[in-house]
Amino acid sequence: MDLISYIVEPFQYGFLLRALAVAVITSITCPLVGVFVVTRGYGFMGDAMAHAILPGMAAALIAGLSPWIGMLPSALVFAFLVGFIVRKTGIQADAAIGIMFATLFALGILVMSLWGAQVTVSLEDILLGQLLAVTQSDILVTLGVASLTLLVFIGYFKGLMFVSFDPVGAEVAGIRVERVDYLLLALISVVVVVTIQAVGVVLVLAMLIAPAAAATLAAQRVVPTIGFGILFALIASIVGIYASYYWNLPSGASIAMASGLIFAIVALVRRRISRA
Amino acid sequence: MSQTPTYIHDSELEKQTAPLPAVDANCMCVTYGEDTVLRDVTFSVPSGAFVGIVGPNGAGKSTLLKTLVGIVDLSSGSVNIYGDTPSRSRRMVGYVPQSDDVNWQFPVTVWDVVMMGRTPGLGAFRYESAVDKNAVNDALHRVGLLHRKDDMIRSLSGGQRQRVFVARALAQDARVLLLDEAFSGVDVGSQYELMAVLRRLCEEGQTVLLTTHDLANMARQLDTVLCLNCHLCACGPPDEVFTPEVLEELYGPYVVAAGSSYTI
Repeated sequence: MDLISYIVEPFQYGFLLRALAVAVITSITCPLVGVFVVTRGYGFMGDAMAHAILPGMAAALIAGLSPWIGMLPSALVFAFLVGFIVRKTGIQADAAIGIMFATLFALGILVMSLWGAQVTVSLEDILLGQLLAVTQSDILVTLGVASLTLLVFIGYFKGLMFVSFDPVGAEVAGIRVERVDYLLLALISVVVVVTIQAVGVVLVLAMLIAPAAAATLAAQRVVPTIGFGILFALIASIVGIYASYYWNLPSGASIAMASGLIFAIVALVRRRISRA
Repeated sequence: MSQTPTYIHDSELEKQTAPLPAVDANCMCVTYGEDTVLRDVTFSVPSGAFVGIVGPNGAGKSTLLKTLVGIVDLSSGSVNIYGDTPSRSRRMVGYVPQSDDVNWQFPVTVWDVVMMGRTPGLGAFRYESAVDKNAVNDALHRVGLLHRKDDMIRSLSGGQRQRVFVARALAQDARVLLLDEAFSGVDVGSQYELMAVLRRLCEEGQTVLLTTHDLANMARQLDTVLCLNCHLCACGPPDEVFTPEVLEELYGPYVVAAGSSYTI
């Protein structure tokens, strides 16, 4: 088989084209917010949020609705509760995240075990995603949410940058820091929920964190860092999908592995460069 | 409590043309819940003055600076910047935050940081005009860091970082510069360098207020120091106000017993 047909062959299948479409869209949105997640130390936040969507997802599935309808409110509630707990009690953010992570994930498990008997979606599907099963309407929802995220992100970019770098200075400059912080949390929520569709709960961090973290090693300013993050995420998605097709591997896990490998390569290359 | 009147006018004519003070605080009080952080603080800073605020931790130094930029509200009293309330004179006041409050790992260059003084707004499509770029260039030149404009902020030393933030305030066209813990985490050589930059800016007409813990070296070089311990204990040239009585009121008896060293 020649190279061209090797490359083209998978995409004669509609389901793989749809998988690629969703992967490409999430490869753009994840590093966009991921750079802020990484540089502000919100990594655990993303992980916890990906788990805290479970009660909403379970409730939606039990009600016979699309999981989207439950996931997004769940993620938003989680983000705002964490912010609320930190502001009202003054405990460390990671402790507040830990509390809400465990509580909401447990609530989801309880909901599933009490009323979830008729739900056909397995926990494995939720954890590992169903990238190869996405439908036309999934793509449209992903695209719509991603475009909205992109617009809000671009609109508030300078404010996000100022607040992330120097919150007190930003407040002095007249930026409503609290509002911008909640906006960032809302954007992370939306992106996490969209990404779960592609790579699942456990692997959402692979798209959100690893490409952005690798990008902070490769670039110096915010915009190029986001650019590199998108590039790394795209490579991970495409490599992951090919690996999944030719070696018959689970797609979410393949993408996450590729993403981790890219981070390792970038870190090694950078070490060599900085030594030279 | 001694308060030095900063303006003494001989004639009516001078009174009419007298420039507005850069900062004019009148019986400022700030309370957080039950705690009174500032009590009846009154002082006036003329345009072009170089003023230090000293006092123990928790004395309200940072709070005082934050009232001047309008992010902490007064519970009573008033404060004016060139005759206007802090929230209305926001653009006129440049603020250099405490080093601990800044996320140094964030990927921005020196240029980006100074540009924040020009375009603090929220839109990404705010056009950076030639005027903005010139202002950033000029501000970096004035603090002697134009050659570092493309470097990452995190690659700079403590003193250089402070100067970048001073440049950001200059790019914003601020006339009053506030520096919180100006010399913390800055090595001695860079402290003097920063001092020289600030002194030159004052000579060019900027008004500088900074908080510091360094009474022995830095505070001694200032024109005026405000000794703050929730209330204003003393105000005037450092040689006159750093008396054993004032130091005891600020820091307790041990400092006075330690003799000539005022470094806390």
